[in-house]
Amino acid sequence: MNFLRSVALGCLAFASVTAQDFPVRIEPVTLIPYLQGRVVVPPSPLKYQNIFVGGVDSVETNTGKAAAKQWHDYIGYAADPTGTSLGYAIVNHEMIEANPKIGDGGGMTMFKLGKKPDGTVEVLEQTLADGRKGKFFNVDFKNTVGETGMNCGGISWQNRVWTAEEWYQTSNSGIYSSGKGFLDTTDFEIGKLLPSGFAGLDGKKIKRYENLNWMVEIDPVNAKGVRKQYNWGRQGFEAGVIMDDQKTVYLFEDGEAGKSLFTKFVADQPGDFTKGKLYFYKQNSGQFTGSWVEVPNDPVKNWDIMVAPHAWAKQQGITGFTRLEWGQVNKTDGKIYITETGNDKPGARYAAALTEGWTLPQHTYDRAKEQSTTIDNAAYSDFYGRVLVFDPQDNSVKSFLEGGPYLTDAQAVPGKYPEKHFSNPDGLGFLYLNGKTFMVIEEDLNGVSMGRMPNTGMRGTNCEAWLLDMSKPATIDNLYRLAISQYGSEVTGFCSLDDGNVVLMNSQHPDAATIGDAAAKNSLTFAISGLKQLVSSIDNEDDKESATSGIRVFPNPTSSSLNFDVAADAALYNAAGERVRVIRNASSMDISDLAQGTYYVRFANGDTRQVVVQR
Amino acid sequence: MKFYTVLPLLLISTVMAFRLTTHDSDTKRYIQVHAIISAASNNLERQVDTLLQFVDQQQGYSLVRLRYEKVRSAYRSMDFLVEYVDPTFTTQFLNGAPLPKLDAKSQFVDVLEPQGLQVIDEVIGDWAQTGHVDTRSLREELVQLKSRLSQAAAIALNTYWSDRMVLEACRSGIIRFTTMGITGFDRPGTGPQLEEYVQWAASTIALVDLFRGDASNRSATSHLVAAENHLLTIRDSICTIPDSALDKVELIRSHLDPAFKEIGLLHSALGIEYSTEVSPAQPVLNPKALSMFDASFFNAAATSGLHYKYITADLVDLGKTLFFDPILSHNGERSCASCHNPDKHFTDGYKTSLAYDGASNIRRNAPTLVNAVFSRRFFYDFRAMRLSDVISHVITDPHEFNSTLLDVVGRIQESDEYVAMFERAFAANSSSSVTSTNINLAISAYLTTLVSMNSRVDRYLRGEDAILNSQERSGMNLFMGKALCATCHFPPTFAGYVPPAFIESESEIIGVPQHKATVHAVLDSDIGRAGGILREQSVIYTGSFKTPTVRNAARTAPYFHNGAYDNLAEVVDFYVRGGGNGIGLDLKFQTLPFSKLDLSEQEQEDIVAFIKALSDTLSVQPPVTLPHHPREPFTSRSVSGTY
Repeated sequence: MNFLRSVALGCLAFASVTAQDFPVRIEPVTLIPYLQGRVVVPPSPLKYQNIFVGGVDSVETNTGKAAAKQWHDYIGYAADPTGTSLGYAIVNHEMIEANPKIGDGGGMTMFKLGKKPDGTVEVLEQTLADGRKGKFFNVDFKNTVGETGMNCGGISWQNRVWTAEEWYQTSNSGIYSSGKGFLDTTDFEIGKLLPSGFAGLDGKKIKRYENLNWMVEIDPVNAKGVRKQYNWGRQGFEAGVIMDDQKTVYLFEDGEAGKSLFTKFVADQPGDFTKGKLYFYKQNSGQFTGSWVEVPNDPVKNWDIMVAPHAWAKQQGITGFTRLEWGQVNKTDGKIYITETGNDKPGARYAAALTEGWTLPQHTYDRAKEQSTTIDNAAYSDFYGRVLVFDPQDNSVKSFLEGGPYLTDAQAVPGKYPEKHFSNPDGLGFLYLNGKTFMVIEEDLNGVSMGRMPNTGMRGTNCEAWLLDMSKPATIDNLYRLAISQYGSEVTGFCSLDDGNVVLMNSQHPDAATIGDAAAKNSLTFAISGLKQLVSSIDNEDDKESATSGIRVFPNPTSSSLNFDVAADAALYNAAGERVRVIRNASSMDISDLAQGTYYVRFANGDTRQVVVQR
Repeated sequence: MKFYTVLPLLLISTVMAFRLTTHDSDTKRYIQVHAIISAASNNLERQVDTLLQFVDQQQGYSLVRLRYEKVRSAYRSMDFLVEYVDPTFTTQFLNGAPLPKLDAKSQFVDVLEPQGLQVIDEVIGDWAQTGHVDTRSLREELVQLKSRLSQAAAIALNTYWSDRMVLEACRSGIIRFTTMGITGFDRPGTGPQLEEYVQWAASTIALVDLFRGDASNRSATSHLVAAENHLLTIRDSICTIPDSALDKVELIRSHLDPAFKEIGLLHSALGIEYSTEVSPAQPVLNPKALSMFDASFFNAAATSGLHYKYITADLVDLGKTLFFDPILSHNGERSCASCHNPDKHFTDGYKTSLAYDGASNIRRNAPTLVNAVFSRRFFYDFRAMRLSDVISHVITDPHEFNSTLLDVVGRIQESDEYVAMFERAFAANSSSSVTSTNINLAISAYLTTLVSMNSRVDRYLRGEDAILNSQERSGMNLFMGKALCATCHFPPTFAGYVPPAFIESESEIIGVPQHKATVHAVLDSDIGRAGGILREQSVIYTGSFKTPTVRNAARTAPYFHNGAYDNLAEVVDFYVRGGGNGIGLDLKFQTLPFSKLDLSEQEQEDIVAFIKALSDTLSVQPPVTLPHHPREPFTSRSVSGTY
């Protein structure tokens, strides 16, 4: 009798519910008869450590401490020649500011990492050759190569590091920036501070802005500039790779749409990059294959070409890309994968580029055809960008993975909003784990329009990082969303240490901070350990707890969301019966901000599961 | 015995029937929404095609104009939905102001030419006035618009319209009509006309009506009916009353704000989830707001760099203490309150503020901090993207606080009291809580409490017992009408914070002179936004300054970025003459949407009267004491500083 009465009361409680599928409040006890299983969300295998926080940590300069710069981007790496630490990390600062202590412009910060007994990493105190002592050191450009600025990407190779100087400038007033940029715009004398390394070049006086937009080699152990590669051309460099032959260098430019260069340098002698030949890529008309056009690159004899290579390139009909960002060699197949981030409406720019003499890549023509237009038409759009693949065997450049999906069909079926949207790739790297090769891609959204954001009507950017198992076809469906960063921040940089056990990444300026976590408020470098485990569990995704029937509910490997095997409407209630989250027509519910405890997930058809969140 | 077995079964089956019903009607609803959008976009496509035909057939102005108006009406029937889902796309390609902008992502200074309906409106407007039109260029704009509209339709149709999103989009449409549609913003060429919004009202009514099925819920039904009635009245008003005769103030007070409220109450009565429940991210607007003219309309934390759940009393208290504490300055004598004095509505009454040396003046006028959080960019030149970045600029500026972040942190760390306050406000972790970032965030948190939308205008519009006299109402109607003020000073902030998405702030080139003048003016040398962030060094931003709020303007003289004008009558007169270009300057990129204003003396006085009524009630007492510091000159520093 008592049992039946309580059931009756329970049903009454249900009946008094308002006419919506997910009431604001429920009585958890009434759910018990309807529960169909229990899901445990284990603590995330990823352990985060904040390593270097811009603006908060201070660097040791030659004249005392200064607040470190921000806008962390590429992370360069050099092993410790003595083998007594995990090595040296050097973080690029993608910014320009007047800063008398560190040096005007951008810069890099170096620190040495050690491994603690518990497996986490720490920044080690050290004393440099020039007497600077502490944890973080600005790389000294001011007293070596002059200056540096907007350091975004770079190259790390055999314990040597180069930084790329983006933000192509054409005047001193431009770099002066009303006193906010480079304050000293007097002519720069090459070799005055440090020998340039190029025969006959020392003593040449150049305009101050001409000393920017080079690839710059730095000394990671001593935190000093070494030389500007005046023989690689002056461009809005973003990144580069050096091949195992120790001579071949590929470089990528984040330049103008339709005018971004793809460059190759081949050193005469292994490891000596002061002498060698320079080439720009030129694709064969109507094909994906191409050739390398040699560029006169003697810094003395061909200075005019080196300081303004685009003017020379367009006369040769060189192929202009649209904002190349990072590239990496896939050691497994020897090809180079490059992100081309795209430009929303490049039509007018392409028209201008074609008039000037540039050729445009075949994949661009193919896309325009798919859009039933031409590349120089205002109707042509490239909202999403792509990953390109360059094959050194046949010198072909093709699209490897197109961004998208492209919302085009006006006769859409309701509720077809894409679950995964891959847009504007920027950072790229490879992970070799468990005998497999994975590509890691980081987004840097050009915009929030055209479906680049989740279907919620919410504002604010959400740049994602993706993982692709290279043994699977390169499609958006096969991309795995790595939820590893704070909402609203852009994740950049990717540096794998300690045999893949630790990965360093950067988070650039999130929009909304969580209070106790210094990490979330500034540009910061953080270390993730457990990425290996994470990738393994992604690989073994079938191995999950299942419910007895109905929609399968399982946490994602970073324990930041609840996933379902079909798109559904679902609500999450906390232990007190308060509705805390509702998703509609989605197969994933973000639970990253929820405290540990017991929750209930309920579907529109009434199915309910208990969810135990462990943190 | 039988009773006890039957009753629960009955109840269970009732419950099951209930759940099945609600699930069914919910499924049907998003499909119904889809059908409405589909019909609207098909109609729009047909209208655009017909217009194109007429242009190609050289049908002449009158006929083309008729078809053009039909396109505009058809556009209104769905634009509020597209704008809700994708405001950036709408601004960039469909209906943005006809002014050049920069590509924010390019590392080059890339100027994006405007496109869309407003550009076309200027062409049509020119045609009406001059009798001439460049048919080829008009055709190109139309072809481009057609392809963009097709993409817009794809965006709207590919969206899964949950109940929450439908009601939020309806509210967003009301916000937009109230703040921009009704002011003539959309028609820079042909002049204000409101008939096209009839279609907006009709679509909104149709969408709200989809929720009628849940009639068992009495509360919901009453709010639904009330909302529809308001919208019907709005529709009828704009149908029958010409723009020049429409009492917009009355429409807002009696029908627009109430419609906004009733849909909000409908949402709540139906138990539908709010945007705060959808993801960890915080919304820009408060989804539970019940008036557009109340500070609770906004989520004040949205631009602060902090999630609203972290803005605690301890954090605000710390931020307030820092605000009034001269410890942030090198000499321990200047605080934020030095130039942002609460007694002067957080300004200082100077043309341009006093500099650190106590003798000279800095370049620019101190703007009010009341409601300052309601913006996406900060400083007149837009150089700060986040509120928390503003404070670093002030601390390190040699003419303001003349200090460094490291020094300030060091100084504060010497005070035990401060360290304790920081550890209370921020979860204490292994490293000290006293960091430059936390200083900035604490002050930002305090600034999120300096919000107030409680002037007589607000209370009147909310239907509370405040009075606006006929002059003030006339002034507001002019502000929102032929004086065109509201096309830059958008309600409800009356600043350049752009509705309905509030993800952008605007700056304008209006040609403020060095010294106030009515003829032979000399342009002020301050280049504004072009001297702000590095990526915006463009001629299109030379002399461009942030559109500040007009709220509390009666108390925050002098005016403009350089304090050149002393009273509101002079300011209005400056605009009447046509801004800089009207007083002797020759600015190619001036952005005022008019060359002169046709306003009588009386009308100008009315506008000033309205602005005076926009004065708010916020009052702040500085702290009584400051945390103890062991070292002079900081030990004997005074609250608010000495100069």
